Amino acid sequence: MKTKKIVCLICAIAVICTIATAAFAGCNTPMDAQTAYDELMAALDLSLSGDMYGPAYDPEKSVTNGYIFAYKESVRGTDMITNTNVNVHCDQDASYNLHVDEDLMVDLYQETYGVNSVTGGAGSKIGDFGFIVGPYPDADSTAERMYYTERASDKSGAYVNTSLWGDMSAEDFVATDFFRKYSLSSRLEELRNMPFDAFVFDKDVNSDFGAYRQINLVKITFGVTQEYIDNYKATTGKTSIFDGCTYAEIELTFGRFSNIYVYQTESLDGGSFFDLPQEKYSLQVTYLGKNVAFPGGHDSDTYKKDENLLERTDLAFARATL
Amino acid sequence: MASTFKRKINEGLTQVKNAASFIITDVTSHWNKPGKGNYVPYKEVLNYSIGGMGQNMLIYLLGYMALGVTNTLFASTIGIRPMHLQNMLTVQTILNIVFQIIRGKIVDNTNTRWGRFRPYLAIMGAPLAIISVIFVFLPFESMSYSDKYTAVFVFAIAISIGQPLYQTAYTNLGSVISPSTAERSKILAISSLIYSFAPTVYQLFVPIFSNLTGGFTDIRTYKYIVVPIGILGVFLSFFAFFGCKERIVSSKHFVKKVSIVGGCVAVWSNKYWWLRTISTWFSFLEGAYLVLFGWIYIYGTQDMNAYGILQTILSIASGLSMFATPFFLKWLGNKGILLFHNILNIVFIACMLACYEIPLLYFLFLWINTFINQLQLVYNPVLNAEVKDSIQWQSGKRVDYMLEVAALIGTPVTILSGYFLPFIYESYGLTVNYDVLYDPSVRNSLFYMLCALSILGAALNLAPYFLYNLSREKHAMIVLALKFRAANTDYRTGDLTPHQVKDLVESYNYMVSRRDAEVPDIKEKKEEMKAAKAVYKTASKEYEQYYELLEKKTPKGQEVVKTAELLELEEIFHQQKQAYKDARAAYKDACKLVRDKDAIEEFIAPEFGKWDTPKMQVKLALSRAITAVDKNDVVSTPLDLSQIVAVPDLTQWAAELADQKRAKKQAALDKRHPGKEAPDMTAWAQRKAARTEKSLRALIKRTTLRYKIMQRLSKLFFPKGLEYDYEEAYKKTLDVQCTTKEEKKAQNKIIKAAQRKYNRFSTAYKLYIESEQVILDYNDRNNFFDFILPMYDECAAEADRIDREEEEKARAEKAAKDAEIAEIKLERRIRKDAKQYAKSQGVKFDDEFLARYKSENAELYTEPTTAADENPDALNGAAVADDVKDAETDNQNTDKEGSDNEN
Repeated sequence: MKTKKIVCLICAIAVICTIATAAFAGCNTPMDAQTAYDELMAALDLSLSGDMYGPAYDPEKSVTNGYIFAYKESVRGTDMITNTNVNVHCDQDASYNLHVDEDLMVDLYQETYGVNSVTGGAGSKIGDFGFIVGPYPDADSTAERMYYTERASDKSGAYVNTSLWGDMSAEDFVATDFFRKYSLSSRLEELRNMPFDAFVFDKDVNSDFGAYRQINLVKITFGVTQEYIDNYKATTGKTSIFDGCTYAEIELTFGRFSNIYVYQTESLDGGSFFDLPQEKYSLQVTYLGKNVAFPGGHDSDTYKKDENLLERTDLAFARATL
Repeated sequence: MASTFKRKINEGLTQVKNAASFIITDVTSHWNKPGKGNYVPYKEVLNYSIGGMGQNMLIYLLGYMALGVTNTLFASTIGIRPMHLQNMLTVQTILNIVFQIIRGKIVDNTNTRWGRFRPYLAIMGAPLAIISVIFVFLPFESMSYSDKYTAVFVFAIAISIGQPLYQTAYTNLGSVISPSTAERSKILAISSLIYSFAPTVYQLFVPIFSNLTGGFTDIRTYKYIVVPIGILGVFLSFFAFFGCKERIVSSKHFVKKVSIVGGCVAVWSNKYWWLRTISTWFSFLEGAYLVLFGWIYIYGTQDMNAYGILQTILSIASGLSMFATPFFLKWLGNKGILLFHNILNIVFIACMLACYEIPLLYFLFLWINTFINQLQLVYNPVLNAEVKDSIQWQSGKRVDYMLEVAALIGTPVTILSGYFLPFIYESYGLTVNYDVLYDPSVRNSLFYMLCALSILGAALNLAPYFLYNLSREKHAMIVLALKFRAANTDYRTGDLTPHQVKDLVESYNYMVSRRDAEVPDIKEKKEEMKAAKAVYKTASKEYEQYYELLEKKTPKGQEVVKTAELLELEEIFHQQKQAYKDARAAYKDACKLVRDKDAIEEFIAPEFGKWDTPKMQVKLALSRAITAVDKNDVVSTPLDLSQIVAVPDLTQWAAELADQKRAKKQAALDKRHPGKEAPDMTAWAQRKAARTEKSLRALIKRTTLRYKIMQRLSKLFFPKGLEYDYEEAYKKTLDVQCTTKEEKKAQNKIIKAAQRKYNRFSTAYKLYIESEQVILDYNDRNNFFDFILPMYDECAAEADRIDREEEEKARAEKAAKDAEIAEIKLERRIRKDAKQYAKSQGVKFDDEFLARYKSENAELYTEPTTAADENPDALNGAAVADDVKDAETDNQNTDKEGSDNEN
């Protein structure tokens, strides 16, 4: 009896120690700069292997047939904050297998806020627009529709609502030049082309810089050279997402790209004691999003039919992407 | 057969009808005024219940603001990293230690005209709701991560500071709503039945309505569905504030306080407390699977309607489980239920893991596991109470609240272990963006890991309970030992009651009978039981076969005619059944006898022989040496206790101990391996003696040091010496009765001053007081055998007489209550008849008319009251009589109307 008790106790203590050790010590493996960079590039390739418009599209590797992804992006400019959510979604069966060719739906939504001059936080909403495209939820119909909603503020600050619809399939919508600007590859393009020299991993510059692996997660914290940022602007004409960046964090999970956060640190005391990191840019990628449904009132008279919706230049989406 | 069934159904229906009639009459007649012997009218019970609904609804809203890695609002909707949530939780846990003390101090010192607890129901609800509303309406969609983090931290901490005040105010109100324990438990049962209606409704509808607002990962669900529920809750909780009263009755008994350190040491010295506490440290792992049900429906099927319905069905499991726990506890015993619960947890979590792809099957196992898990809601308080008794037996201190304080020792473990699940979440891709859970590849890998961790947690939770051996028999003996102590002291103080004597002596006699009983051969008893069972099964089979044969021969629709042979088989079957039952009872009793003997040896024998142990002998010698000095001379009298008290020679004691241990081992060996010799235990006993000697020397040294501290403190606190008996003075101030508010206020000041002085006295003279107590306990040690045991016959007769008197009194009270109900019924009927009569006459009905009607028709209504008075016990009969009288009254009314019309 006594032996049994002792065995029990020893087992319990052994298990506790194993868990504690595994949890708090052994599972975080540091990575050197080159390995971290290689991991990042491999992860970007794997992530984009599912995007048919991406440079690394590999139909063999892709389980999503070149379509399915979802992301949330937030860009903080000097006078505006823009949040973009894109969700290209398909059905899955009871065993969680994706059925890419059935019921493909797209949800694209973008909203813009002003920046509060006092707090530096979000100000009032300037406007938003969104598309939902996919099979019309009517058992008798095989039609696919595109619904568009827009809320734009005029000069007086009052909101003007626009609700339109047209015939279009999700596949066709994804194939448009307009949507290509919102594809996953468009969001990861800059990262994919970044050379190793552009990254700063030196712990002397910032003690948080470095990379580690934690089971299925790889976390990379780094800085970006000013030279790269200037070169990027000169060669592409676009502003880098790292412009003004103090440090950035990238998370890779299961070998794929997951999140990037770009921070700009503002000092509250003029020195370095009270530093407030401000999120300048963030991108959170998932490889299957939430179910998409048509907007409320889609079957009422609220929405007006407009077959040439994507060609109109007076709508918010056109202005936003021009 | 069918007629018997029908008859029984009818009897049952009549009983239900009568009970319902009684309840309705009781409720309506005591709606505004409590019944005799009670304090709370039913209107107040309803107010308390509605208040409970409100409290429940606000807590539901606040539940979404509670820090934790599984919080859907903070994590999935707002997007705070699990690790960051855990960091916040750690800070909150540490802050909570301070806030807990502050809250306790605030509540203990609250004394308003609304009471001690009710004000917090009124003043805390609205601010908490306002904070929650502000929080959910913050523009999270445009906030940076650091802003979100700050907002979540500030609001969650603010809520966690105030929420316990609001939450405990309601439960504490329940404990002071009535001074009668019986009435209080009745009120709590009724109110919990009523207010549990609220969660049943919102748990069903919130997920369904959340479909309209984007599900639980959309902030709009919280803004437009959850928040209104909380706000409604604030309004409903005012029912409890305005509609209830606090009826605190100050205790006349003076209870000495247990110091925090002393109490904690007492708790920490108890093995059972440690086993239960260590087991709870693994709950964080075991509970890892709890989020998965939500994830399946929120991120997997995304079917909120099914989620709502299933959540409601899940809540039924808790209710059923609470109902079933007493049966399980009786069937399995203490250790059995702990093992049963934890082993089944492992089994069902494994089943969930195996079938996660089939949501309904997963739900079935979750439901069963919830049922099993909820058993602890009832058995935990029961087992905790037993552990408290065990601590009291061991240390002589009664600890209640100190149990929670002592548990703070586990705070570092709780904080550290809290980081484990966030670590796992992050390692499996769940960092900031909970939308990754829509992706089945991420969700499923987390699913496997969390289920596996839950199984591991359940196994770790289970491990300590293999060492838990506080059985019901042991607890019974602990209670008996405590009764001896109490009776010995009560005999000295003159507080011994006849019932106490009767109960104690009967328990003692039972204990003696069990101690002296010879243990039968358990194996033999088991074989006998098995053999009896086999015979019974054969008899049963033969009977059934023959019955079936006869049944086949009998035409359909006719009953089987019992032949002589069938009757004989039936007789044999019943005999064998009884024989099996007897054999089973004998086997169970033999097993229980073994447990009883173990318990007696562990708890009663040491209790009777405790003054013979070296430790108690030294303690007694030290106490005598200390109390030999007068309290006022302590300052001026130095004592070197090591010179006065010597450590006794332990050679003889060690030899006896070795013999005892050897005998015990031999007995155990004889049972398992007959013929094998037990080893010599002399070396072991000598080692123990050496350890004991060392600890006794340490005790003497420690006591000498404590004496010096006592000298210094008494010099500091009482430079002029002790002026009077501070304890007695404090007790006297507590016993003063006050009638007016001013008197109460003045008396409170006097009590506080006396308490301050007494506290100083008990701090300075702690060692002296303890020494006096040791000597008193020693002097009282034989009170039971010398005085109480011989008093049994006399006290038993006196106790029976008191019981008879109380029974008669209760019967008379019941009769009076029945008569009161009958009177109210009659009054109501007269009023109804009078109203009808007034209507038929076209006359205005008022009090004057009623009085006239009553006086004119007095003779018509005299009989029912008399009947109720004469036969108050026959309440059911009264209901029947009422019907008869109704009919009579109707006839008489018709006659009256006729005669009035003639007039």
